[in-house]
Amino acid sequence: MSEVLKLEHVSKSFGSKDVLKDINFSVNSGEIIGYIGSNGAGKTTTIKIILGLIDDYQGDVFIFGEKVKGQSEYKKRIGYVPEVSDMYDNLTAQEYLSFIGMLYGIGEDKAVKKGKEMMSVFGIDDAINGRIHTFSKGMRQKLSIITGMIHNPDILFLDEPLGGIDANSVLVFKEVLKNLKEEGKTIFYSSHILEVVEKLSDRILLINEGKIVIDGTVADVMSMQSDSSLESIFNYVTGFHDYQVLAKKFTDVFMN
Amino acid sequence: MNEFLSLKILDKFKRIFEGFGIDYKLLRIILKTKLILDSRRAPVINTNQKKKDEEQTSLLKGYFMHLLFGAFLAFFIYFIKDEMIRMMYFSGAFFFMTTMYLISDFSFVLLDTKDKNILLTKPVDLRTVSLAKVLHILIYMFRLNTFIAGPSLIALVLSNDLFVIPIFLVELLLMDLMIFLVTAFIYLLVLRFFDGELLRNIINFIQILLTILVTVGYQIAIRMIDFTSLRNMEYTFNSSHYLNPILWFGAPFEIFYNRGESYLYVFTSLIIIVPLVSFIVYLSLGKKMESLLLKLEGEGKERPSKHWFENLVGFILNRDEISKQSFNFANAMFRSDRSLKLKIYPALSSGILLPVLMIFNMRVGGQEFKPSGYEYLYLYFNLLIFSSVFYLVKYSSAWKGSYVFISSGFKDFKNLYRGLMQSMAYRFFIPLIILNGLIFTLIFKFRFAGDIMILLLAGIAILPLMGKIYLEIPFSKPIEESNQRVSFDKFLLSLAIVAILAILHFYSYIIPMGRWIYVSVLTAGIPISWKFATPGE
Repeated sequence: MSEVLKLEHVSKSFGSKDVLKDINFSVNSGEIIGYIGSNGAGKTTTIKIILGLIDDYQGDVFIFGEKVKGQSEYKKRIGYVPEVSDMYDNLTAQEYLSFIGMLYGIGEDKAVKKGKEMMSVFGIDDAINGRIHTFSKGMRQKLSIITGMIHNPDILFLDEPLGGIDANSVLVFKEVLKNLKEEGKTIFYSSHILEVVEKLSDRILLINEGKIVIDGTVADVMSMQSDSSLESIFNYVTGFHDYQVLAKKFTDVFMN
Repeated sequence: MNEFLSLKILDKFKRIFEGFGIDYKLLRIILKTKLILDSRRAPVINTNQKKKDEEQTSLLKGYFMHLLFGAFLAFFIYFIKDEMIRMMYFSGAFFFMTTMYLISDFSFVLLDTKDKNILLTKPVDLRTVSLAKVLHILIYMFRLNTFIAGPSLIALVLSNDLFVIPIFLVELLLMDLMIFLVTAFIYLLVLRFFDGELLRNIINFIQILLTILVTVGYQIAIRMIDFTSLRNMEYTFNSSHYLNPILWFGAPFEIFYNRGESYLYVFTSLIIIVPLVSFIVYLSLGKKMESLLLKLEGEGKERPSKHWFENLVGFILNRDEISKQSFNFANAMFRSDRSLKLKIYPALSSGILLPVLMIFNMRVGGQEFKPSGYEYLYLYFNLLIFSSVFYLVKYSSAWKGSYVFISSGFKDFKNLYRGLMQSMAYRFFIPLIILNGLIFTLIFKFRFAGDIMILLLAGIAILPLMGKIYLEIPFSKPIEESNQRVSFDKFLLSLAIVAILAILHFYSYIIPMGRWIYVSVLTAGIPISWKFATPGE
């Protein structure tokens, strides 16, 4: 397995707030990485740096052995599905697919053909001529998944990709990820829904307050505590123990 | 996807772009998509758009307003004979209108943060994205130029010859560049020192101002211009003119057609140097702009303010908690919903300008103005126009939040509407009448002070009746639907109410002590009307 992604001493701050503190890790081809952490831990910032959306950071990011800062060509080989996808809402799904296809250089016709077939898998192909602003949250997210994968990328960055998607489509998507792994694709899956991460990932990276605090295989991570659930380990590592107290407080306020 | 003329023209420069290392194919794909999106977008300064799908028609209507302004400007240009004065008027009006339209209609392109997320995650470099942004704005400006400056070019050709065409076109290009850069620098400065919220408010203010100007500005401008003196004006040079770009643009014409004094060559050099140097500075600030634009991501916070006077008014007017809360809620919505403000304020501006225009109309032909004594009746247009505010308050850009009225099982609509109407009176109606009162005092001294008081009382008394005609759950429908026409029946009904009040006011002069009796009836009528006529039962 070859190394496809590497972060070396990556740090980033917004104003006086240090969001990422000396992040170091590498990812091999064919791995599914579960990148987990609480809200605001630095997950999305890491992905944005890798994708070139943030470029004023310290340290280096390498993809396929090349430094990515200031480059764009490497993006032909990576796909990205964000939690909330910006799209040109006044285009139809077909127009958007064709636009994205042209940007990736795979051609309009191929993009539309592939896109329509992928839409039919998610049961939304009837909406191909509908304007995106008329789509529900789930439909938008499905289209976002499709446009993030349409060019057959070697590495797929998924940032909470399942928001708003129905249970059946979630099942399909999880199977798709397993199939892609078998095809040798690398998947970098960022989420705070631990159940999905636990089932899919080969390796867990846990980020807390801008630092990677756990980097290991799922089996390694599970053996860290007697109660072997990712959730309890997550709570333990992030120092979160008083959920019952907080729940009681909420209930009391609710009842009054 | 259609082919755009602007792209076909741009294709001629393909080699130049490629020479600078730009991926022209990608640039063209991005621009084409942007132009398609533009064609599906309704202009901010919109006329009566009936359906969302009528995008093309709506855009044409937008351009019609530009053409109207262009024709108006050309009329001037044709009249003025001095080359310097002519171009001074042209560039002044052109700078003003193009900047206003650019800010109002196209700020979203300049301040876009969406492109970054869509395009920079794909194999497209920042340089191509930035260039696409500049070209997109320039294409918009060229389109605007065709309508705003096209008629003036015809006027120039008619009064000079065909040689004006190349000079004029190059000047237009440089003016566009200057306008774009000045706007971008202003945004940069505002974002550097303040937050995105202030910039949004400034843009909203410009949009409101422009809507007012386009709606009623022409009426005033036509009446204020003295064409005979314009014809004979001559330019006199002053060294301070080096600092005024408006005055530079006549110089090339003056050199070409008349004489070649040294300051004219300086002006001509400035026309070229200033925009080009600014463009280089802009490109070097590109990254800074991108990072400052991050301030616009997210909604931002409203500036902390106590609104103590508003709270005091709410406290004095209301015994009931629901109506007090409704008053505060409506005030907060009117303060923060920019799209709604963009509808309400232009409507109110007609209320101020219509009476004034009617008074001006009586002065046509330079006759001495003699008040008839009935001018107060024009103020009743305020009440009629205020009915459009009643019509508008059911719309909002945050209309989805209105589900709480249904989901909470809320029933006390009477108090909800009472608070809402109090807020409408406090924020719009009373200031409107006060402003009209000030204008009338300027024109007529205190002659109509009593009548304005009567109008104020009458207005407050009939607000609940207007409410009965128009009010629905406030802020509960998408603002985009607000362009549908008001039902004619409702308009007739409000017209009848206003007419009755105007007639009563008129007759109160005829009956002895009539005005005092009328004031007493209105004063007594206000609490009765607000108690019994408020809708929501």
